[in-house]
Amino acid sequence: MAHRAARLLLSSIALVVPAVLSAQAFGLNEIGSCAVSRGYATTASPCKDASTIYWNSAAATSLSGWNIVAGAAAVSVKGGFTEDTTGHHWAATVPTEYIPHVFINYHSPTSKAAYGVGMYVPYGLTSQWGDDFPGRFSAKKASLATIYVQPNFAWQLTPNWSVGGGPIIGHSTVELIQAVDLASQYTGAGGPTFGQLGIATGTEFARVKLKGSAMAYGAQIAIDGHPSPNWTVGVRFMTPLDFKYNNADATFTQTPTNLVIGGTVQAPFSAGTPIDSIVAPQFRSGGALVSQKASTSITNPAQAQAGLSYSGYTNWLLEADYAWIGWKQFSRLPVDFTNPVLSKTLIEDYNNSSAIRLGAEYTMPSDGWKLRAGFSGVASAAPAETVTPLLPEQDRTYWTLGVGIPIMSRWTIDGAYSHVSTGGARGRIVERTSESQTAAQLNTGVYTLSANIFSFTIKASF
Amino acid sequence: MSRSHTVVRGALFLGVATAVTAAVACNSDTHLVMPAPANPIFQNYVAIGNSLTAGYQSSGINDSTQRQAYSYLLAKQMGTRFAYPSLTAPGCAPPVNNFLAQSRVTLAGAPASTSTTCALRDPAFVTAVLNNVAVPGVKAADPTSIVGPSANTLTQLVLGGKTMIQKALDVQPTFATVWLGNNDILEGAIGGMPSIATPVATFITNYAADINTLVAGAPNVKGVLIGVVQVSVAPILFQAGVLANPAAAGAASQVAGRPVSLDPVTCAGAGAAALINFQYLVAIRSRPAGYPGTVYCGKVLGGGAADPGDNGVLDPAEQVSVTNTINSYNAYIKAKADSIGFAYYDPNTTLLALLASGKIPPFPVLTSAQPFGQYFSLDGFHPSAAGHVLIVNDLIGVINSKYSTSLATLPTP
Repeated sequence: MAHRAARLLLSSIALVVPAVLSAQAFGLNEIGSCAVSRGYATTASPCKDASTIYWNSAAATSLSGWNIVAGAAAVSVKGGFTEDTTGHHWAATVPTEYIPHVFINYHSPTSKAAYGVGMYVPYGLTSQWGDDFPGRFSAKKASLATIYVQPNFAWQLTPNWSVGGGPIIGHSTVELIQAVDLASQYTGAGGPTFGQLGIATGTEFARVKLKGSAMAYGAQIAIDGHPSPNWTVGVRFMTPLDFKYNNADATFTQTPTNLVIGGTVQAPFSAGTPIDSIVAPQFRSGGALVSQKASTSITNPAQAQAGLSYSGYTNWLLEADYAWIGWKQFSRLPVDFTNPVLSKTLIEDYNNSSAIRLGAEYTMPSDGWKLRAGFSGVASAAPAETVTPLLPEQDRTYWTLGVGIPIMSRWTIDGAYSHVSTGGARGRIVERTSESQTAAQLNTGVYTLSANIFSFTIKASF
Repeated sequence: MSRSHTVVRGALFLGVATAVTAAVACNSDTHLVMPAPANPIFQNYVAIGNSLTAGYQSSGINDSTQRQAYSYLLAKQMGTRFAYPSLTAPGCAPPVNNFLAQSRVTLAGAPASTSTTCALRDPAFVTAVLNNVAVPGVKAADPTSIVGPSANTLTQLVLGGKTMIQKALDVQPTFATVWLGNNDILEGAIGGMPSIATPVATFITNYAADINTLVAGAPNVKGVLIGVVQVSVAPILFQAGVLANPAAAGAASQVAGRPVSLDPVTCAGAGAAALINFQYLVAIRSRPAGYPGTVYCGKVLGGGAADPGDNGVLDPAEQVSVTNTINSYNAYIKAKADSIGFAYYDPNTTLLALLASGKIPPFPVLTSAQPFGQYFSLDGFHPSAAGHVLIVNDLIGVINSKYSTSLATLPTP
């Protein structure tokens, strides 16, 4: 009967998937190699290590003694953009990023309380494009690095139910590099734009770099339950963290256009005059493009995950989770400069999103090795109007597998591999300046995206 | 646990995962919105040239005239992208909209436009890549220079600080039409001074540099080289002998502001075949009062302030010179087309047919809204919208023949 219920559970998930799929923008799930290999479906039956502080902080009471986890995931992203009109393709130049995780937990077998602390990276982003990418005026490079530190306390309410949670101290750094398009700049107060004087769209004459950091605070809570010997349930909820990057540094550097005025229009646009000499004063003292302060704010959204796992098959653990992330908070991205003329607000209009995560683990009875596999299907949190160079967000599928190898009695090594694939999505390379602009008007090509993730974790318990 | 159970569980898990994958994939919109040209050779079309290609009409140009250009019409028939440097109304310069008054297109409530009015590019249509890179006024010496000998305001507004060939290569062209050379002879021909035309040897050097630079940057490009127009066909020029017709003489007198008459010496015999620029009559109007409205058919020096000299008069000998120069230009253009595998189009066949059929009036019909006939605009040498249709249909015939394509022609006006 229980086995039938398990099959029914999985079948039901398949039916509801089209309605609930949605996901995760710059969210990261690479928090523990065991979790990666199980398709991130680890809230009901978290991996038996201290990474449960993130995945289900209440389940820390199920650990015994000291448990230490340390590891990192290497994320290698491949992507590109193919332009409609020319068919030209530009490949993204994203470097391999390494995402660390460290957890430590202590639970005395005789105590109902567990204590621990975790350091993990639930949100992050790096997008980077080449110097000739036409979308570099939206984002040449965007980097968002966030570290959460979460002290954790868990309490065993009954033999089968626990609660847990703790405050989160978040630190985030943001870096954004954009090219600046001469065509859209005004030649002077009340004057025409350079585009009206024949300067082509996509003529880079400057590059702006914005770099800042911020702290924010939040919390995470969770419930862990074992309603029957073979079934477990888990729920976790993390509050949003609002990072305000005040006093960020904005620096501008001039990019030579090497263009020369081809025919006299009006002073100072006389035939033979280098464009670079006309715009150069803007980079000097008193000009609009001098180093200055800037501010922006990004809210790392709330997230919740609920899971149901079944362990009734000998040596097998199956789990299905539903995850929700409140991306609707990522609606606007304001960038305010000291010189207000340069200030702008990017329209993001993200939607709340969900994901289905499926995982399985088989324990080899002979030597205790864990063989794991998983799948996660997530659809884009961004609307069709917001598939951009900053984040070419699109539907994703994660196929994962991994192994846990016990070494001696106290050590375990977990390794995981995840392949992220997408079907591609139409997107834009220009800013959306009005809500009235539609995807059909804005999108001028197709973004592709895939990633390979290798994760390695070493664990000790004593 | 049995092996069969293990397989069933694995299959169940994979089945669910596959269902999720399919659901996600259904949400993807990954199609490229690429132009679907009538033939792959038209994937990226670029039009190189001067005012004829840019869409200049009636001594001016704006978005309306740009969209009547043969290059624009050809791109439409090709089914390919065609971005042009849209010039904001009323234009740069605004076209003449009344021949007798020589008034120009003017926006409601704005000061009257003049020949120096320029409303610049339309900011809504500034693009990274242009398919029409033609600049009014250029000669064969210009396309490889940023600031060429014929540089003007439109050079900047169209090319934005690049050479015409650089701008053309930005398109990564698969097909090009090149119509250069008219301005190398035009000014001398309609001004009655063929000696200022670009010497044939110089023209060949310049033209070769243009084409060689284009082909070097786009080795697989196909296209058409278009010959120089026999300027004598332009209706801005009329035969002096036409003024023997009382009706024509009356109209000419109206323009000149005094009675006009043919000089009995220079206009005698073959001299009556001299081609007179219509602007010659306008110049007579500015002669001091009391000076006669004499039209000379050749060089008359020493006529004083009222003497237009040789300006605006293309005598028979000069006509021969102009024709020979253009024939030499075109011989080279055709040879160049042959050497690079391009088609060659000679527009003069159609022009001469129009002349022979009387569709180009021998003298401007001042009472008509189309004083130079249906196929020419109000400046008397740039084609009208109907004229561009004739050109594009001719070009389509040439292209279909050369490249075995099946571009459809437009209805003949």
